[in-house]
Amino acid sequence: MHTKILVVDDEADVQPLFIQRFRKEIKNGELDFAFALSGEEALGYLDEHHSEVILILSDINMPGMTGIELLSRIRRTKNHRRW
Amino acid sequence: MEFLPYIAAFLLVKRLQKFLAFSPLRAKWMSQLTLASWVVVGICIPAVFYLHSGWPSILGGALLLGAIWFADNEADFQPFNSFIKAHLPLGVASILAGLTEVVAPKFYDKYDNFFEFAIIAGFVWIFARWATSKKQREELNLANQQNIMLDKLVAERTAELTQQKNELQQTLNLLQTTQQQLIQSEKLASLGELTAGIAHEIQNPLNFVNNFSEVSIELLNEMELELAKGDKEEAIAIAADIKQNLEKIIHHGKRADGIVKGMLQHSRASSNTKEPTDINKVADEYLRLAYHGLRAKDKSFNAEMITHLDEALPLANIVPQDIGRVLLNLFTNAFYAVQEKQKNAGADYKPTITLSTKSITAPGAKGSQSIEIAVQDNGTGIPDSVKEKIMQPFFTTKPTGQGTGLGLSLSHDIVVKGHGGTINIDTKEGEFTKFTVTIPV
Repeated sequence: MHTKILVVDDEADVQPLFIQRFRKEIKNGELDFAFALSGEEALGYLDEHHSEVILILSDINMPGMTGIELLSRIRRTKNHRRW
Repeated sequence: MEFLPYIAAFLLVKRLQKFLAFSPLRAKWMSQLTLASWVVVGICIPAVFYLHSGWPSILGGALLLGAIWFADNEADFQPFNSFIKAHLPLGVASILAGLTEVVAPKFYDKYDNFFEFAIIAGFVWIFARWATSKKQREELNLANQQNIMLDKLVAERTAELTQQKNELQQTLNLLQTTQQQLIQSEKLASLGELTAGIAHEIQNPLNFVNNFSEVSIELLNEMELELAKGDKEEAIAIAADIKQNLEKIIHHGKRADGIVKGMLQHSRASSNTKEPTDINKVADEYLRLAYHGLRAKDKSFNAEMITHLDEALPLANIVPQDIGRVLLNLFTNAFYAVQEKQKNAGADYKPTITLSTKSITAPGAKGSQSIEIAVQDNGTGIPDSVKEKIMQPFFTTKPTGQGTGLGLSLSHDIVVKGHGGTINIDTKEGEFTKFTVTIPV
């Protein structure tokens, strides 16, 4: 089972943290991580890779678009689509 | 007629006494003149009663001439010179009359009317002269009194002025002390604004330190398992990860350290020591602090922050915490302006703060280099009526209790007086405000 998770955080250093914490799972192909440094970038990623991501983990406090804003934007624009 | 020169001499002494009564010379001459008047009387009485045939006149005339000679040689009596000289004819006439009476009594007897007339004329002459000089003396007296009054007045005014000067000096000292206290309290006030931002800024690196440590422990466990299994390659890969994690831990530890140090520096009384500083770093740090400070107060607030930092910026010789305060103040103002605008603007409004730095070289072969820091917001802007006043101390448009009115005034002092730079404002009401700080390298 291949599960794709999108992590949205303006701190780049969360990326190695996730990769190492889920080292085994990634190695076994159970989990796959994608990263975005801002809400805007996350929306762009979702547009390009629809129907792939099944879980989004987002920071709330980010410059520009906040996590809450990102959530409502995703709900508004993508809720007709299953992804 | 023998007694006339004595009377004249006596009156001369008395009048001199009177003239000197109001002058500072009074103490010097008064007792001597009194003595002189008694000497005149003392000589007059025996001379008139015991000497005969002309000798009293000679003696009186000589006494008078002696007095004139003496007074003429004393600088203190110069102002009355013309009056004293008026006694000369009487003295000369007396001596002539006396000598004639002694040497040629018959001739004298024949013309005694003439001699007596000469003596009386000399006596009258003194009074005539006295009357004319009286006016002069009165004027002199008046002038003297006015001088004394003026001296007194000048002394009073001088004392008054000295007192006022001392009071002003005290007030100035008080003002300077108060200014120092105000600067210090402004620093503390801005520290308060920063606290929330600082808490956020420290929390992030601390989280990283904790999380990377935990992950590293897990990785070590895994590495032990791999080594037990004999998978050396995997173990080496894990070791590389652990090494990277430890570097991250160091990095974030230092980041938190820097923030705490910056906070301490910010609140410390300025040491005023300039040091070569990377303005990009300072500006970026304070932009984040200001943003998170505001976010902590108002969770719903959000703004886009755009930075155009000139990578080739030279180090500037500045007092980092002072310039940090200036930038913090500009950022806080910018965030405040967009926040105010957001209250009334529609959903389309996107609060944006732009920070840009660039290096400027003045034209010419040896052009001086300076750094320009621009902070622009798309907030409420500043009306022209207010623009003139924003650098004035205690001027604020914020509601009572929300602003000290010292931020820009102190910023202006720091940039202009402390660093020889400039602050320029470009603004359009309702659209944008751009503060440009220029500091020579």
